[in-house]
Amino acid sequence: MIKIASAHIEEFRGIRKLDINLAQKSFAVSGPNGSGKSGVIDAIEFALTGQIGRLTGTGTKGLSLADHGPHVDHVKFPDAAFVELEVFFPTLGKSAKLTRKVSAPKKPKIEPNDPDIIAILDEVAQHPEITLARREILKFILVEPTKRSAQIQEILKIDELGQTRSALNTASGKLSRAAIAAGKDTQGKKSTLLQHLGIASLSAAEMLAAVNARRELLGLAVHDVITAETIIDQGLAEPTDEQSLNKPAALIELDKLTKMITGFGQVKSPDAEALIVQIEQLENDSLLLVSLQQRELVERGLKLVDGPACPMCDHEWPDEAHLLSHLHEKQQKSKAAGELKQKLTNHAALLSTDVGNLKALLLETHRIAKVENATDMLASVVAWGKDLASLQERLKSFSTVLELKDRLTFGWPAVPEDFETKLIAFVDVIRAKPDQSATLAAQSFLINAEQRFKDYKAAREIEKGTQKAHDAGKIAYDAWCAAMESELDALYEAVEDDFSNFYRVLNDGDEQKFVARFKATEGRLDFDVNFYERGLFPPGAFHSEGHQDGMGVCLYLALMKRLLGDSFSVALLDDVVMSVDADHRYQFCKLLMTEFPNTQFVIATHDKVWAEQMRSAKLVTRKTSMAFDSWSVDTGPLVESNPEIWAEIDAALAKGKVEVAAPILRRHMEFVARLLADQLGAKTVFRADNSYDLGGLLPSAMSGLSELLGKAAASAQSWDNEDQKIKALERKQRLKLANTHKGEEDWTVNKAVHFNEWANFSPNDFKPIVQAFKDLLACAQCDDCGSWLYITPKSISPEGLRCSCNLVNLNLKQKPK
Amino acid sequence: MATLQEAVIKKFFETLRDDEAFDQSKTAKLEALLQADGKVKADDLTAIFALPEGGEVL
Repeated sequence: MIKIASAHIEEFRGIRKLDINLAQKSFAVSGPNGSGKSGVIDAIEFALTGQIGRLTGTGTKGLSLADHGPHVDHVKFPDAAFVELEVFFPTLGKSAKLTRKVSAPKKPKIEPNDPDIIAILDEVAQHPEITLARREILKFILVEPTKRSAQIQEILKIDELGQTRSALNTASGKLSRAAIAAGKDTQGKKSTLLQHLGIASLSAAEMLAAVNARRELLGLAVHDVITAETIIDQGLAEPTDEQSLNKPAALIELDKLTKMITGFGQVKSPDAEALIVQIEQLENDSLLLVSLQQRELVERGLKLVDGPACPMCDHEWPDEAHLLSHLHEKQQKSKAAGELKQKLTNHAALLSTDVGNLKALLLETHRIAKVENATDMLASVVAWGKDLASLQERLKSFSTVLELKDRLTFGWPAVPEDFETKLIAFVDVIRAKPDQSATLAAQSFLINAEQRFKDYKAAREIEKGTQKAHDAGKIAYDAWCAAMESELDALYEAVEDDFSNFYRVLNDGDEQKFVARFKATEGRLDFDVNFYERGLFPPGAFHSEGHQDGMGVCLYLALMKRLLGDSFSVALLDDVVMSVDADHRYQFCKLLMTEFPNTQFVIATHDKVWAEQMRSAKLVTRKTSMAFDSWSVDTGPLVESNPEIWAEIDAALAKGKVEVAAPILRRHMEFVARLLADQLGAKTVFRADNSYDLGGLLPSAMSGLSELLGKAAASAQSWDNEDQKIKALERKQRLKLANTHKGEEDWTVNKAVHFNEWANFSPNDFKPIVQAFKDLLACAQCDDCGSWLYITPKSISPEGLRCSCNLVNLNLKQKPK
Repeated sequence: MATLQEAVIKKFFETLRDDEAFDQSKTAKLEALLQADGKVKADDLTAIFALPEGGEVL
């Protein structure tokens, strides 16, 4: 656990030099867009983790810490860009100084060099997810279930589980394809054996009949039974080469080759046809091909990843997880291309089996031609066989398959031009040979039968092996998915309980029966939320953007609680909960303070009202907040130094400087008028261009407050609550007097405050104006905690008027009659 | 989150050990593979699943 005491930032991002005293407490940084507040978040994140979240991930191509971490004027001098944090370690009771330079992001300087301190800081550095930016907040809520799963798994550091699942799935797929190919081969071998034996099935009766007929003829003992262990030609002496040609068997083989060649011209191969279609699809869609080529590169890269450096281009990533996440994202984008590639590879594998069958017949023909010394036939068979072997080789690789379109279109077998003629002539030669003697034929029959029987048994063994391998792969994959699902279900159950609880706190008084459900299935995470007890729906279905924003933060907090537990000591929130309204923001402060009392939040916002609300709710104080007024490339952020507005105005007037006091008062009034109009639900003329001014907002806010106090008094009357009635009426009376006083000063207010004619006023002219505004604004503040009053819920029928400490807690609902 | 990772791996091997249809010589190989540093590769898994029943003699 750590607490940041102070930060010193130099030449980093948009900051030239800045010191921040965080005082080990939650801290708010506010300022208009482009004022440099996110630079503070980046700086603290960098100091703690060595990386800057906004320079990594989707849409950050071309950005890097080395090039874009230093101030733009110091890009060439990354050594000058550094962040120094004073950190306190409550569990150790020790403090340390952590200095990290952009030039050496992985080598922070830690003083003192205490192993306990280094271990804690190392642990913190492993968690860049301590930073949550607005651009990321909805990624948990509105993304596709598959991406949500990946992103949440990444934040929980369990993406490795998903990678192993994916590897098991790929292995299972490969083994399945191998088993199918082996099955096909076994069928081919069986068919050859059946054909040779001249029987329809491998029943013992049929086999015995075919085999024993020849054995009897040769005077060999007949087989009583036939099993897998039976040697069909047992007892037969080895034939000589001269005797090895079995004319009928040879004719059967040659006939099979002839028929296969004839078949090529009649029936088109479905696998070849499918391959042509897929190759054309890639030819006609250049983007698809590019996507596929990139996918191949990414896949190759993924296999080579071993550390944070890209194996292809040597680009240095913050860590291996970032690099892998980047590559997986690219892989996901080319999913359609990947599926096409998979189909193409499958068809190529099946076609390769057909090529193999043709090669097997050619091998038989080669054997026969060799016995017959038919050199011409032999040469043709060898040439064609080599061509087919080359084709089979090319079918193995995706890139070479793409070059086969012409071959496939004109017929993949590419039967040599004169091969059929030569084959017919060769068959005629064999047929013309004198019939072998019955004895010789029987010998040859048994020898060949035994060889084919062995081939078939070997193929069956291989098939059995591949099937077992496939079964093992499938069992392991299913076991992994089940283990992952069960553990993740338990995790998500815990997260969904925390998430639902946080969301209920955020929506105090509304959605009290809110529940959420996560459902993790293979590689996806479904997420549904209850919508006012009308059932479970995806979060984007009925909930408003503000609610979704709130859900994003709650889910983030729930995940961080689960991930870091007690170590969740620092969180950097960059412009989050912006779509959440004022009332809910107070609840958000309550959520952070009650559920995460030991976490130091550093919150950046462009919304001054939200910054004020954080102070009002006591999440931060004036000392632990900082406002940026503006920014320039030369100066960096300009800090608005305005902790005690009235003291500052008084000080200026004491020096006779009305020209200093008047603009301060005007800026403060503009800010408070806007805040109160928002918090009190003031009725004002709507302006599409958002150009509300002080003259329009302040009267609306104050008249709204008066009306609310009247309602509170009437409500207290209806409930017989005398104390509340007195409080409401007293405040209303104070407001009336303050308004009257301010009305008396309006002529000067208009000139001095609204129209900047302060030059004509002396400090004594201006003091009553200041007092009038001070008294007026005090009517909208809690006398105790100083927070600005607000209505709840924020609607046209509010039910309460409150301050953040609840000293002011006026009921606006009358007792039903 | 190491504990979750460990829990999944533990449950995975428990399931495999309880499965009579799964060759336990492969379980030992898988354990070694998952304990090694670096990412698990599909080709390494394929090689393990394709091993003969009871593992190889040499």
